[in-house]
Amino acid sequence: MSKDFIPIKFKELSEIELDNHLGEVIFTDHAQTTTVLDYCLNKKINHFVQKSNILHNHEISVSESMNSDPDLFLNFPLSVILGEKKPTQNSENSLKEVSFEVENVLDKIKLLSEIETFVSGVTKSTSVLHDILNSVDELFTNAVYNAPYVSFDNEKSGIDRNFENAVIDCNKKPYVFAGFDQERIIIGCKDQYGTLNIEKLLSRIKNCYESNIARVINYGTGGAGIGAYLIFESSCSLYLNVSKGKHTLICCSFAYKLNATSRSQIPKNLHIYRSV
Amino acid sequence: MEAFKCITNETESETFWKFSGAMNENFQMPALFGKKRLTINLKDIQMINSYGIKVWCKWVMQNKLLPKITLEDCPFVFIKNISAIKGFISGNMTIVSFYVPFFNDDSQERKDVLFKVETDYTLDGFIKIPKVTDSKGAEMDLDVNKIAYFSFLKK
Repeated sequence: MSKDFIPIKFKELSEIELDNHLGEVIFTDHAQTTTVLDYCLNKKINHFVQKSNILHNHEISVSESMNSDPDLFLNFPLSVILGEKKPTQNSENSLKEVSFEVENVLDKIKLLSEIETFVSGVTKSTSVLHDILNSVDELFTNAVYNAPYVSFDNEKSGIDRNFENAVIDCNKKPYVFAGFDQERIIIGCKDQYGTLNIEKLLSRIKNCYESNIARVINYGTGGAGIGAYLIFESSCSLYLNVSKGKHTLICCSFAYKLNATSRSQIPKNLHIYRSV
Repeated sequence: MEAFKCITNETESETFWKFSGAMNENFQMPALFGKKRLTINLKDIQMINSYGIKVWCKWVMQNKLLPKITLEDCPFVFIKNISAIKGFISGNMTIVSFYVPFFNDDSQERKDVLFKVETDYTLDGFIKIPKVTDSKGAEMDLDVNKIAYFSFLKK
């Protein structure tokens, strides 16, 4: 913890004065997913932590770490999320169960196979496995088909999803990783383009929650535009770290020890760090 | 993860498609000729990503006026999308069987149990959840959110 870190006190959402919030972290409970998105989108809250989500003390520490030392989170995301006291390259390496550098678009099959082997070694739950495989698929797709090709406003989706189109710059290979502790499986993907527009992303996810998704889907060229929604909906915490033009790091956690009903009802955490 | 495949069987009155593999970037709905009854078996679908959802939903919208589409042996990855994506199935589609995953955290065993219409559920929302046990006789839990997963049965 940094010296100037203000301990976060729990408050009901209705008690929080947004002009005077503690740091940039809201610590509350039972806020609906659209409320979380709304606060982060329209009220510029960067961290939304919920008490009934698992390990909320860890999550508050993650907020603090992302704010005070974003490079630490960028370099050692598993260590920070999984609560290592002194994140280092060694701690990060020891936590990585999957470490995968994407070299071409056909690597997705190999990557998903590695993730499946890893998750199946942690839990045999069908629903956890499919939630994680789907999320990794969407992260891969975003890194390969969107990140290198979209403008910073993200007005248009990336290139069309046929295999011949995407070329991976060998100096900017996307990187996918995964790890776990006693309660959570963490997956993440880092690209070196920094083109993800967080406002656009949150807005798109919110739109999916509030609309008939079949009508939200982009039926033209490019992606469907619902990948981020699928990731957010299936995970319990989402972590976004974007440095414009330099990198995008997206991580998400899955509470694999909870049963499917509890997992689907868990109030969501959201962490954002952006630098221009 | 295998690539998407479709085996087609045509009779005079009915078209039968058996899907397998991943509904993803290389997934395309097969061409449908005429307005015959259509049955799609989805048992061996392993995954559906956002691109697969897009292709599927587009086809559903384009074919919502077909007389009858029967979906059988729908796996978890398909049923889960029905509750998450409004418009994933249309009014002319009937699900006559689907898989329900069960799981026991202690034994780490999982089972996918096939539920059949008129035996295990009715199309107007009645559902009978059987007691499922693992290899040691311990009761297994539903590995889905019951309300969301079975919500497609409510008319």
